Amino acid sequence: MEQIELKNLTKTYVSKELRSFKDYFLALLGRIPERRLDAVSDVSFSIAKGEFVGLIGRNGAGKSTLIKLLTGILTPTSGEISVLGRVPHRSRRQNNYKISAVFGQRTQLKWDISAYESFRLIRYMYDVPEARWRSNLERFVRMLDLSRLMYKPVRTLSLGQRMRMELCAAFLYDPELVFLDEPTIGLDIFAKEVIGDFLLEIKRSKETTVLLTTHDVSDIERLCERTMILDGGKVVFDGETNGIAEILEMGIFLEFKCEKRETVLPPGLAGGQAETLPHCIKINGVDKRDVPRLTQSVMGLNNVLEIKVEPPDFEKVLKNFYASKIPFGT
Amino acid sequence: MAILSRYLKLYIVAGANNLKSLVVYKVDFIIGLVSMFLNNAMRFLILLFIFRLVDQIKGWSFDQMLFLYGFSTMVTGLWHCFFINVISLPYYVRTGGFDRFLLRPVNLLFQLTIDSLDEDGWGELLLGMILVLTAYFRLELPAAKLILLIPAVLSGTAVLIAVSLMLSSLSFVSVGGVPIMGLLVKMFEFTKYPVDIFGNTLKIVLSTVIPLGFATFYPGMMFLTENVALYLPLVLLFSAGYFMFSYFIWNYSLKFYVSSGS
Amino acid sequence: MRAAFARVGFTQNQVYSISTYLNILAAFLFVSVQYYLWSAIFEHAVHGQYSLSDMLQYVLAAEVLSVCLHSNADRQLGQMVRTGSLAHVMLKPVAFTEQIFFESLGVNAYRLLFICVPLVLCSIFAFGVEYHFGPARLAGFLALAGLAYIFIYLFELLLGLISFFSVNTWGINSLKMAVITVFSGRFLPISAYPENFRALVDELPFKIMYFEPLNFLIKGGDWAGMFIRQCGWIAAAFLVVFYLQRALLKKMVIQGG
Repeated sequence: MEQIELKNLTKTYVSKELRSFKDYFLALLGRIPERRLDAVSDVSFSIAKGEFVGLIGRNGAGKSTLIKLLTGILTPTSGEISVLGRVPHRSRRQNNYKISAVFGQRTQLKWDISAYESFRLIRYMYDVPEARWRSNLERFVRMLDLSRLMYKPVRTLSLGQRMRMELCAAFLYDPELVFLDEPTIGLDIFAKEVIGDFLLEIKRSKETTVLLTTHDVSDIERLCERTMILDGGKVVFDGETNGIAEILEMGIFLEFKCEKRETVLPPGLAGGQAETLPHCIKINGVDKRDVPRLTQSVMGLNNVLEIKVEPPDFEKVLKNFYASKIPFGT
Repeated sequence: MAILSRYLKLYIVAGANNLKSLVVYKVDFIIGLVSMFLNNAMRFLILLFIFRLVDQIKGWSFDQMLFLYGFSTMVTGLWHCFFINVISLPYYVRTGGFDRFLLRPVNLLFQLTIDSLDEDGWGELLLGMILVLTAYFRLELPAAKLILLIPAVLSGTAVLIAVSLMLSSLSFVSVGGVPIMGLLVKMFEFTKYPVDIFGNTLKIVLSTVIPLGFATFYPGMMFLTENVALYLPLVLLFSAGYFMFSYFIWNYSLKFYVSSGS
Repeated sequence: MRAAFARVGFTQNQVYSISTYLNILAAFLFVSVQYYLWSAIFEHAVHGQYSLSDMLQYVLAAEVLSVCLHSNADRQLGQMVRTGSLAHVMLKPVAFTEQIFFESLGVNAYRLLFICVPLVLCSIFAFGVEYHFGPARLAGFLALAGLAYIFIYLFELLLGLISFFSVNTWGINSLKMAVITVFSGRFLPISAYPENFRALVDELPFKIMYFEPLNFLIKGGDWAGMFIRQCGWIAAAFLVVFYLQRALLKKMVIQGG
């Protein structure tokens, strides 16, 4: 059985704008118009044990709503949902023993005291046997380089240090399913790398299922073999991470710097695929197999000084996708 | 009873954490301790000053008033010790902190209460005990009756918990959360004095709609009159029932919150 | 710019939101308790300068003051200290404290209009509180209350600055409550205190906050003397705050993040 299974899941928000006392009164009389918004609309997918899935979407696409539905914090309006074999909002507390969540902006650690105290509290909250708790703690402290920081008050830590603590806390009780909501937001490259290494190691040694929400595509490319794109409450893409670019047929990008101001294009290029600028030729959407032939053609017709070859850029892919809004099937 | 011991352990650990959070700031902690003592002593002194001006109030003597004042201080003190964080619920809902509780495998109300423990409560409780015992012996009440203090205080606190719980549950239902803190604290003023000095309408309100009378006055009457047979079961039944009612309201409001998002 | 801060403070509170109504209700309840209490007390002979009618006026006026006389600078500063978001502000401490002052003026103007007025109207309607002061006494009271406002602001500012050293705010808060409960005359006119204790309280400046304006309103007195003495205390408080700010700039505790 899959870790997560969703069938036609929908969550509708009904909102009324209530600001002053008069509005409350009018609402009682039913005179304030309701606005219905499908934050999550007819979503179906399943995630197997041990998968690392990336979840991308614009702000307001429904990502956090989806996560809240999966953790049982919200009840769905319609559809079926099963997490760890149970319905999350009905078996919330049982599932919570095996679930963990890290929210990039907020911390679960107590602010004024050391992280160690919070770790201890977690042990009691989740009923973790002392031996396992201790061995996990030692291991994570080593992996995340926390030994010097563990006994300092949390409020004295930098953002990167705090996030490492969060991750340690999140995995401390060996959860089966982990939700990471923008864990690397605002972090520098080194912190991201340490965290990335940590997650890869976890992936290798335990069979934890991870759902990673992020705006940072390098995280996804590094960690998640599967990616889902959420837009307007619907899943518009669900497949291999490196398959996205191929589906969008973005292809490889070539740029040639030429000696002469006037450049000559090779024949056989589609209209609009190439761009000529003073001393420069840019060619988009080149199939992998065509690169050598095309390069030779250009070099044959021009005196080329520099060549730039860029693989499809994930961010460009996304931008393109949002701009085109082509609906994808799963 | 494994559940009970687990919660007890959790409580102790969380409480220790909260205490550590305060002690960490040494200067502030000392100032706090001193002020706590001052605060509580002064509240008692004011009562004393008032009674320098007058011999009795609506048929109640100084010692009887003192007893009731002390008793109500014990009840509010006990509530203060363990349940005061409930009134911070609007804050948790507004900042999304409550979602954090929903993610944990522990009872929600319990988590709310242990997230922040206010040490002021202990001073209040202690002061209340001193006042009660002082008045008790001045009134020359039978020592055997002292044992009744336990159910009396517990049921009184249950009523306070119930009232604060229901007011707090409004935060689940209303848009921005309702700032009940100030309202609640001021309402508790009512509990310090005998219900019948408040005029008839208010007396009825305080015994039914917002039964603060059952928080302090009626339990206190167990001691100030001979009528234990009447007051004891009345108070116990009412507080148990009312508390269960309030817990039901809490859960119901919670369902509403969970289905409508934040 | 200063007017802009006041405007922000005023409009932050939405007119007649639920929160406003609750505030009115809370204040009214509190006044009610005291009304009944004092009525019951005064059914018997009371030794003291105040009659029942005086006491009721005192109670109501004290509640009005407590609603709109506090700037809560201590809480604002304390919160900034806790979250560590103070670094950039401390570079211009003067401007920031000014901002707090004017914003609170706006907030309190709102509370005066929309909480205190209904409160007074409700109380007069419910309890029929009579008053014996004429416009001259009222004007003098307002002047003293204005001074009290400034003093309270400085006092709260001082507490807020102290929280820089103690970092947490729990203790400071308790201290503030203790001081106001005992020394300011918020709940009981200081003239009712026993003589030796009263002598101590008279030496301290805190009675400026509630007792002096209220006592003048109800009983009259040496207005000029009070005014001058209050100005003296305010000047002293101002100096203390000023030097504390300077000392703080030199020794800043910056929290992480």
